[in-house]
Amino acid sequence: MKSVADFVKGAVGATWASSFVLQVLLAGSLNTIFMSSRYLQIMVHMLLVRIQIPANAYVFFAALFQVAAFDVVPTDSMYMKMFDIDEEPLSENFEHLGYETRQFLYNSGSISLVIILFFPIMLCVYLIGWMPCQSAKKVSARVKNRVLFSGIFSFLIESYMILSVCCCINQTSLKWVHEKSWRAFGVNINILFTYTFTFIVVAIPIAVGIVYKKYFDLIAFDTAVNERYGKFIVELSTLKRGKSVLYYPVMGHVRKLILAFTMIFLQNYPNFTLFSINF
Amino acid sequence: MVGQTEPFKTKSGNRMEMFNEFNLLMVNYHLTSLTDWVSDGDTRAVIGISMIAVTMFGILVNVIVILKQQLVASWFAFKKWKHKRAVKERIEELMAVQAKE
Repeated sequence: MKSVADFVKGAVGATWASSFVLQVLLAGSLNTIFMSSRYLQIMVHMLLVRIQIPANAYVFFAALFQVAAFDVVPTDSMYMKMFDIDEEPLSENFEHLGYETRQFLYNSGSISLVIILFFPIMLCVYLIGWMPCQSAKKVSARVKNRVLFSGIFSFLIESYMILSVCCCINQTSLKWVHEKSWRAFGVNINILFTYTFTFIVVAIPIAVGIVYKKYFDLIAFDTAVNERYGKFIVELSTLKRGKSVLYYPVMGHVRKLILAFTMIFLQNYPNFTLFSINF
Repeated sequence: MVGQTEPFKTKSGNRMEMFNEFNLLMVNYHLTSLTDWVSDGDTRAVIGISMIAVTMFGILVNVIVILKQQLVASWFAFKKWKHKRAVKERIEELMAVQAKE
């Protein structure tokens, strides 16, 4: 089962990566890749429901989780050494799937690393923009539009499920440690990240709703808007249900949030969680 | 909801979304039967294998759709490049003829 899972993991990873590069080079739509990644994320997270799942299914889905969670950089040992994390997982299901502690940074893995690295990159881009050179200003403006808006917002949206699960897990152990040790520093910084990302996770559906409402009509005509938001505004059809279709992506995020919430805070009611997947 | 609203512009987008939702529902049914309703170990193992099969089928369809899209995009890019090259060559030919005259 492990070899089958590894093969599927490799195939999915390679297909996503090659398609992503090709579509970016040819300025094509990334909609299909995003659609399949969202589907895989929900599918993999279904195993967090507290029921006894056969071992073969665990092996298969745990391997898939690495692809679905965009866990390309092995950050586990790094965070372990940095923060001296010694907490226990929320339950056995969570441990099997890769949520081995309750700490946000450790659980989110490469996602948090990308988001942390994003800030110094953006600082460099802004510094380039202040340089007294026209071409540098042009490059800075372009990178700002493409990376700041399209890039990071798309990344947050695509990793929304994992971020919300990590936030909810860390919400179960929010105890500040008043000590002068690496462990205390690790716990406290994780709590800080949890608060920040909880705010982001709650704000994302609202932000998506605002962006869609404001820019959906402009996306086809305005090149500046297209450059900024074109990568994450999905082409929706208003033919059948009019503008109400713009709530579709918002509902998608709300659904993931409800799923994460029920999986962690209503663990003792697995039937309720299974029902919430169909929301 | 997807069937009623057909939110995506393309037919393939709507179909894919429907297919993915259907697959999720299937896995959900498998998980429902893995609750205390079924206690026999062998049956649970079979349900587990069935769940993996359903997931693999879903992933396979997704991968095929992405690869197909990739091939179509590459083909159009190649055609565009070929057309551009032909036009450029034709212009160069005409300019050479004009220069001779």
